[in-house]
Amino acid sequence: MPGPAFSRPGRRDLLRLAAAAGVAAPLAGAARAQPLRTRARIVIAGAGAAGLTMASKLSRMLEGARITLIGARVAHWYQPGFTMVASGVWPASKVVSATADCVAPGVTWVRADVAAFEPEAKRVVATDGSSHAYDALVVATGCTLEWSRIEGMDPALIGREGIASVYAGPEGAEATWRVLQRFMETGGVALHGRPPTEMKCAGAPLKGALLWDARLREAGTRGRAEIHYFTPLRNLFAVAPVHAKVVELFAARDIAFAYEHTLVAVDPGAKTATYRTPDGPKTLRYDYLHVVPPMAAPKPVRDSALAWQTGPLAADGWVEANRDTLQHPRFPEVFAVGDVAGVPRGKTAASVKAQAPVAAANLVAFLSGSGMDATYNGYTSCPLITRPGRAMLVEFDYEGRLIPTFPFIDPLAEHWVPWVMKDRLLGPIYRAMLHGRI
Amino acid sequence: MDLFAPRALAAILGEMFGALLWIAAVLAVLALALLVVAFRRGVRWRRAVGLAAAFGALVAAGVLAALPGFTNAAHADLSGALDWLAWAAVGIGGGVAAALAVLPILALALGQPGEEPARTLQRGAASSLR
Repeated sequence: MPGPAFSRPGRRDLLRLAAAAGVAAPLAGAARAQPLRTRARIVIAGAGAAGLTMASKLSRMLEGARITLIGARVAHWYQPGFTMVASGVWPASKVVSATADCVAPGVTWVRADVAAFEPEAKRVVATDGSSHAYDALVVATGCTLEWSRIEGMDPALIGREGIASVYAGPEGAEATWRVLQRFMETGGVALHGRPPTEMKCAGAPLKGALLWDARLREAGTRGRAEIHYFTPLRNLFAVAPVHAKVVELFAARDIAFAYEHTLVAVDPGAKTATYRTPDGPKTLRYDYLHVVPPMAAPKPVRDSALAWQTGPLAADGWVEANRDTLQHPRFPEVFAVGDVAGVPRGKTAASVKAQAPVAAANLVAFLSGSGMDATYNGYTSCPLITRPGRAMLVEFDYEGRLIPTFPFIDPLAEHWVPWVMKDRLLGPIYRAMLHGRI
Repeated sequence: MDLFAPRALAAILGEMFGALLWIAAVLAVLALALLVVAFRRGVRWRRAVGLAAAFGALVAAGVLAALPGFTNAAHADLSGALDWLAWAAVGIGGGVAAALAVLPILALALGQPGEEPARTLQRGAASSLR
């Protein structure tokens, strides 16, 4: 197995940390760039993490611009916390806040979804019938959960018949914890897995399998349970050293796994799940089934000319974007950020944190007619929780290189410190991001 | 943005602690001002330092005991030098901060110049009565 590709902390790193943690903090904000004066009309489609962050950033970087945010969701969900809710660590209330609290001053918020993109006319039509012309567009609609692609599956089943899913919002995460608590008493067969499509937080299903195992051990019922993990891919994680570590963890925890298994049907009455495999369909009985639905770009994106027309990202309609600049190659006034962006990696809140400054800087450069020099390296992060109280802080780029933000943390070692970051620190970082302050 | 940048750190701390951050900052400034006052009055530090150190040690012990639980974890979850160092640093940091916060108050309350000579005089007076 190749050794982990992360750097050990050097003296300079430690000095930088010491300086940063100390007296320098109050000197914040001394060197902010001057905002660009413009009357440009900016439309941001989507009021989730990516849309709110872009609205906050652009409102600080542009003076006089008319920024319109289009998104119907009144409640904002801190989705990185869903696994914490589903494992009984946090209450659901901790992951819900008001979208209104995160909308930057001066931004016009249209409480509707996007009904249609008309990039040729530089216009977006909202579901309330309003039409919004733009000089620059940010597509940040997120993705849709395609439950119907699994025969017999309905999100209303979550919390019943042994069916769980952390992806179905805060209520779904809470229902998952209830199903898990019942399973902890009875034991039986637990099935986990991931979908065949691109997905947000690809580490979440792995965390789920490991966390549920830990909860069963705490309850003393692990001996009565079998845990299986199925993936349509030929690995457990796209980054080789992380894959190897997860294989090691699964072996140590007695979690069975199989490749090239795609969940295609659920029969809640019979409590069976059917998988497509190279050897034909395989139907298994379950007592606990964690469903991760296939994911795709929302229909208005898929139906528009903004979507990839060819290539691996075309099937699910992700927005075509230059992977470095996040600019649309055919519609240069369009930028894509967050889950909907058709780039090889990056459907996490950590990706948004890395993408938003790049897209915002390049959008401002586009408006000012200067060259775009900000680039996104594919950064994404997965605090891979291995049990309540311990995690691995895995961060990597397009090439699958491990690029730890904190050079003193081994990304492939289970520690309490990354858990503390997940439990206490990432939430404030996320909120600072939404407010455009980082 | 670099998370270690001062502006980013200030933003994250602001989100983490909210108004408490500003209250803590005001209290820190107040403690610093009291320290300056204590130095200028030429107080006697010995008892104050001892009591402040004892208080700091008590706070550090409390923080070290409660810290994992505060993070929805247990001491058994700490593993390797990184975790134990972080745990110790937070506990000791908390203890030192607590000691520094109470030190000027204790110094001003217990170490006013003139207290010690007064006691000496009393002891002297008592011995002359014997």
